[in-house]
Amino acid sequence: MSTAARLCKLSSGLVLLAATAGCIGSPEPGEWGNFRYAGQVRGSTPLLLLPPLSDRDGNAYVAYGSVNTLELDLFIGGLAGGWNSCGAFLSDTALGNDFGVHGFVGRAQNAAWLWTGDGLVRASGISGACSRVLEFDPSSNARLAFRAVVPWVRDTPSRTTTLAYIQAPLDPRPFTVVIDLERNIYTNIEEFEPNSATEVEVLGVGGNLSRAEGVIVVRYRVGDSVYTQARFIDHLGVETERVSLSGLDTIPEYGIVGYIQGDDEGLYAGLDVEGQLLVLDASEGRRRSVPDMDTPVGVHRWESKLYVVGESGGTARLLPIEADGDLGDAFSWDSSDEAEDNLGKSIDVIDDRSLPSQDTTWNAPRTAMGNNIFVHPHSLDHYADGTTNWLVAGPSYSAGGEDRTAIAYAPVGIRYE
Amino acid sequence: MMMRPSRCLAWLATASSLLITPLLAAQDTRDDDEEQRDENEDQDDEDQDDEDQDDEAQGRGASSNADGNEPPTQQPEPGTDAIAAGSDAAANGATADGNSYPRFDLGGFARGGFRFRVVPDALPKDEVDYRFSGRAGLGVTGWAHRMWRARLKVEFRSSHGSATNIDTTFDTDGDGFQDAFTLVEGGSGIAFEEATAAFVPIDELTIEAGIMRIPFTLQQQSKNTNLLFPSRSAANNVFLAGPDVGALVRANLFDGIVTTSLGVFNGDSMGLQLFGTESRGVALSYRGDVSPFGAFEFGESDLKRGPFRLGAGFGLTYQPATLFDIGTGTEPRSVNDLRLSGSLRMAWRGFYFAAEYFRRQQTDDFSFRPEVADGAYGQLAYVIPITDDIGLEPIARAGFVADDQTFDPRITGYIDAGLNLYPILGAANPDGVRLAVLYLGERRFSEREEAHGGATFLQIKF
Repeated sequence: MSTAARLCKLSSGLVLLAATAGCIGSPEPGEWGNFRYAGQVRGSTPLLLLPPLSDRDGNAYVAYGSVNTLELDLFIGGLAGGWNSCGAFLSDTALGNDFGVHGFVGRAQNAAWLWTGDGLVRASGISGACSRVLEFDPSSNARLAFRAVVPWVRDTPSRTTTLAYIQAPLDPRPFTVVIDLERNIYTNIEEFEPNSATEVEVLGVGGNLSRAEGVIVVRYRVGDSVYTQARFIDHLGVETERVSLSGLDTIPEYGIVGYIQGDDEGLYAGLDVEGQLLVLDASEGRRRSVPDMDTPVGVHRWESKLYVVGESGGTARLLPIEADGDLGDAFSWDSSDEAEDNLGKSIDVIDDRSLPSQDTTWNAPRTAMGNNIFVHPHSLDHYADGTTNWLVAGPSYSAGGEDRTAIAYAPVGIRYE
Repeated sequence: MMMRPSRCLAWLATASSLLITPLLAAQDTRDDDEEQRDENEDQDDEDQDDEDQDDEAQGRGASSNADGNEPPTQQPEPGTDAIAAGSDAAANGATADGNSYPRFDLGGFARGGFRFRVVPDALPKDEVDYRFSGRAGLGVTGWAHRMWRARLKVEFRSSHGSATNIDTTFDTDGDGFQDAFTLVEGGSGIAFEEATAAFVPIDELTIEAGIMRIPFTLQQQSKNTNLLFPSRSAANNVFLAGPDVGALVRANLFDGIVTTSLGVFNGDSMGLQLFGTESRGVALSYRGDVSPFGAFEFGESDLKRGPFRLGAGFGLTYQPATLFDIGTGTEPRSVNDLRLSGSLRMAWRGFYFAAEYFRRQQTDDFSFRPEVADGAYGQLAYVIPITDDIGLEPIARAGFVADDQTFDPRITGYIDAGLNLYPILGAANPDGVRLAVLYLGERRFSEREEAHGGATFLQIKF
C-alpha cells in the first residue's frame, strides 16, 4: 500500500471519528428535560402565561399576563440555577394604558425584552433585574408610549436594536424609530404619515429578523374615511411598502393575537380575535377563514415555516401555511400528545428559586397554558434543534381568597409534524 | 542523529495507538519509496534535512523566540557553541568535567505598527478606529542539564489610539468576556506566552509542564512571530485562544515526519467558563501531525523555498467538567466539551498553503441545549525573491465561524490579504526583519454588519 493510500485510510478514520463525535441528536418529540420551579402565579390552569423565552447564554424568561390583563410578572432564571422575579418592579412602574403584556420582543446574549402596555422592559439574565427602556423622551422628558414594537432584536457587534412606534402624550401621531436597546436612545425618527391621520390604532405587529424587516398593521382615519394598512419597515426604520387591507374594521386595537409571523420568503400571517387568518406580503393581503380546525389559536413560525395552530375535538392540530399563502391540510400535532403522555402522573422538579436547590415531586402535572401543550397564540422559542420550552403547572393553593399555582419551566422536544 | 523509535513508542504506545500503527506502516512505505526516488531529489531532501538540523544545532531554528509553542528542540550537546547567547562556559558555570551547564539561549522580537478599522454601520464614535500599537517579546531557554530545560517567554503589549473599542455583546468563545470586532485586540499589558519546565530524556521525547499553548490546532503550534498575519485566524481563536497551564508529552519521530502530543491542562484557554459559575475539571488534549515527505516545521511561510512538504494533522480536546454556582458553591452541573480539528498544509519552493477545520460541541446534564460551533480557514502565501536579499510575499486568508448552531446560528466570515516584505531574505534568519501591509475584513452574515481594516507593522526578531 502506498503512503498516499495509507494516509488516505488514516484520514478516513479520523474523519469518521470526527463525524461520529459530531452527532448530537435532538430529543424525541415530547421528551422533557429538567423541570425547574420558576415561581407561583395567580389563578388556576389555564394560566395567563406566555411561552418562555431563552437568551443565547441559556437564561430563561417567564412572563405572566396577557394583552387584556393589567397584572404582570416576569421570572428570570439563571443559566446555572436560581430565579428572580420582577413583579415588584413592574407593579411599581406604570406600564400602561388599557393593555397588558403584548409579548416578548426578543433576546440577545444575556438579556430579553418584553413589551407590555405602553412600556418596553429589559430583563437581564445576569442580574435578574428589570429596567424600563426609554420611559421618558431624552429631549423633552415627556413620557413615551410604545404603541408598537417589532418583535425582534437585532443584535450586531456595534448595537442592539429594534423598531417601534413611539408617541408622547401631546403627539397626535406616533413616530417610527429605531430603538437602541442598550444605550436607551432612539434614532432614525420618522413621523407617521399622512399628517392628517387621526385615531391611529395598531392592530398587530410582526417581523422577520432574517430579512431585517418589520410589519405593523395600523388603522387610522382621515376625515371620515378609515384606512387599514400593513406597513413594512426595514431595520433602519425606513418604510418600504404599504399594503391596503380590508375586512379588519371590526377588529379591536391589538386584535391580532400573538404576533404576525413571517417566513423567509416575505410571507406574513396572523390570526385575529375573530379566528380569521390574515395573510399578506409586500404586495397584497387578504383575510380568510381557517378550515379543518374547530378553534384556531395562533400562528407559529418554526424553522422558517408558518403554521396555524389550534384545536379540534380537544386535541392539538397543525395547519401549514404554504409559501404562496395557501393553506395545507390540517393534521394532529403528535408532539403535543406525546408531551402530554410523557408528563405522566408525577414529575421530579428542581426547586432552584433560591440556591441551593432542592428536589421535589409534583403530582398531576398539566400544561400551564391553554388546553394542549404547545398550542398558544404566541410562537414558541427555538431553544435548540427540535426543542422548545414550555410551562407545566403543579400544586395550586388558595391564599387571601385567590388561587395561586406553581409553575415549572422545562425544555421539551418538538416537531411540527 | 540516531532515531530511537522503539523507546518513544514505549512511552506513547497506549495513548497514541491510533496514530502510531499506521505511521509505522507509513514509515516502512516511506523507506520503500525513498529507494525508488530520483537520486537528485533524494539528495535535495537530505541537504534540506541537514540544513534544518544544522539550524537547530546552531540555535537558529527554534527555542529563541518569545512566542508560541514549537516542537521539541534537540538539546544542545555539552561543550558545543550551540547557544547564541550565554554560551561562554565560564560565564555559565561550567561543570568540573567540562560540560557547560547551566546554559541559556536568549531571543525575542519587537513589533511596531499602525492599524485602523472602519465599521460603516456602527455608531459615529465607532465607525473609524485607528491606533498605533507596539508589541515585544522576550524569551529565554535555559538548560540546567542535558536533559532538563526551562523556557520563559513573555510578551509586552501596548496600543494607543483615538477611539475606544466597539462595545459588542457577543461572546462567541464563551469565555465570559465580550468579543472584539475586527482589529481591536489586546490592549496593554504583560502576558506569559510560555513558562515551562521540561524533561528531555531523548531527542524524540519531551515531557514538560507549565504555561503553554495547547497544541490543539495547526496554528496553536506556530510561533506568534511566524504567523502570516498579525494574529491567528479568527476561527482558530474562537475555538482556542491564548496559553493554558498544564503538562504535555511531545514526541518527534522519524526525523520529524511524525509529531504527536498528549496533554492535560486547566482548560482556561477553552472558554468553558460561564457567568456565575466556577468549573472544576481538566482538559485532555491530543494532537498528531504527519508529514510523509519529510519534516515540516510549524510555521506559516516557506522562506527557505524548500522541497515539497505535505502535512496532515488531527487534534482533539476533551474536557469533562463540573460547574458550580459561585455564590453558594452548590448546584453541580456536569459539562462535556469536545473539540476537534483537522488540518492539511503544503509547502514547496516558496509556496505555502494551509487549511484547517474546527468543531466544538458542548453538552450538559442541565440545560438540554447542546452548544455546537464549526469553523474553518484556508490561507496561502508565496515568496518571490526580488534580489538575493529582498523578498516579497503576497498572502491571503479566508475563513468562517458558525456558532450557536443548535438554536440561533450566527455566521461570520473573514477575508484577509496583504504583502510581507523581507529585506534580509538571504540571511540565516530570513524572517529576522519583516515589513507587512495588510487588509483584514470581517462580515457578520447573520447580523448583516461588516468591518474593514488595515494594518502595517515592522517586526524584528533576534
